[in-house]
Amino acid sequence: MPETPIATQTVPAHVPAHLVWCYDFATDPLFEKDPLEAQLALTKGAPEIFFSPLRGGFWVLTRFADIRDASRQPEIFSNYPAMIPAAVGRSRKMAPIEIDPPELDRYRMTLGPALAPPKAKAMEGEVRRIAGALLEGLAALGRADFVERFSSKLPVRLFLKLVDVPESEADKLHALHRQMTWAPDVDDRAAAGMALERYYTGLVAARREALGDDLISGYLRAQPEGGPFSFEDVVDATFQLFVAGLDTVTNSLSLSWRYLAENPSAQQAIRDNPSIIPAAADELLRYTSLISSTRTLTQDYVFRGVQMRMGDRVLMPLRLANRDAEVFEDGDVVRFDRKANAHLAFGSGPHRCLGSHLARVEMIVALEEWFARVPQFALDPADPPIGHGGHALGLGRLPLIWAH
Amino acid sequence: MLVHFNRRICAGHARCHELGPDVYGLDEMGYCRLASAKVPAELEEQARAGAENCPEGALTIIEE
Repeated sequence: MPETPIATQTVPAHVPAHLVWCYDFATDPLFEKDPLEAQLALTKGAPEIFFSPLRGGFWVLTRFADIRDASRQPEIFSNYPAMIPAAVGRSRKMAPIEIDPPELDRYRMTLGPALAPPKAKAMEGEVRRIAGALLEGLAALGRADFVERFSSKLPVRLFLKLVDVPESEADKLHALHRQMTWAPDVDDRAAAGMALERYYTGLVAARREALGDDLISGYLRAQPEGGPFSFEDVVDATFQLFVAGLDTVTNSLSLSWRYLAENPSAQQAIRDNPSIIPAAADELLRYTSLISSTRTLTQDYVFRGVQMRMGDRVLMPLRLANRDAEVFEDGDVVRFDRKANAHLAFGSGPHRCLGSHLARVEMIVALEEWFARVPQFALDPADPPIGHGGHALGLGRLPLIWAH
Repeated sequence: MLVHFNRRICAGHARCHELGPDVYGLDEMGYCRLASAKVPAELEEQARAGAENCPEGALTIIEE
């Protein structure tokens, strides 16, 4: 897919020079070594609201209050289009991520109840079963690539349960998903994307003939205000479910385990008192907040004294909000005993991540099952992690070692 | 103690219910449902924990 070249520098006339700061959130080489550190290093010293002239140009919000306020004003900060730069060549909006209220409501009214806290809690046993199966025999190996062996697999298998697809499909979908995100050749990535779209089209077509109790059937059956979903709507929503639930949980697990590998005292705190795991999971979610959401101005607007123009793009790195000293004491430090931890790892406002409750269950169960089986672990000094930037920060590899 | 709930900005994080289940209920979507603004003395800690952990700042504790 053609992209605006990164070297393209665009500073519109309404952007004052003192607010310009080059931030390449996607491809800066620093992300490879340590994505979380790279994000901080690349924005350190920048104005609280700045304009990066790269990738067609975009504003960056960094304060908790600013990111939350922008997220809550969809009539000014629209969710369409979803990426920076915007994807080209698509004939339909990505649903529901690119849909604004009030049209968004029919998606959320359909999916929300299916992923609400009681439903997420009811899946805990299934998450535990999948995690246990993935960890079977692992401790005896003494080493593993955490991404390959665990963090990329757990969400895929759980997702297949949610859409009622047999677990035997996991490896194929897992491979296509990795190819779509990771293949060096753009044609290979596009081919995987198209293969997945065909797969989901076929899946939705088959499901329409035999409705069940899964999320796809939920969309097909729904009679929300504003009318039922079209076939294409359901294919798009199914694809989005896949993309939203896989990369994010995978990367959140990977970045969290990297932190733990580099901080033996944090591992010890969990081993000494496993009852802290729910609080630890939330603190790790805050610390590893990997999503940078985007918005687009629907009108000329002065935000916090900064003149923005209709069509301006806005990037909201949630991790920067979640270290804002106005809200979090020692925001760059992981503290499992935070009393107040009102972070925005799942965003804010009408697009708050619907999968958040399930993601929390996955994080908590993953910690419990891993720590029950694997002793103190560390990064493999001979094989360092490989990270990446983008709208979702993450790790492609995380080789870990432990005594066995 | 009273707790004020701003329904308009609740986004369904459900942290209040997780940390203060006896004070904060949930609707079908997982959004906060507050049965009573008045908090009994034995639930004040739950009420505070829920309010302090609301990412939207939708809950305000009012000490009487």
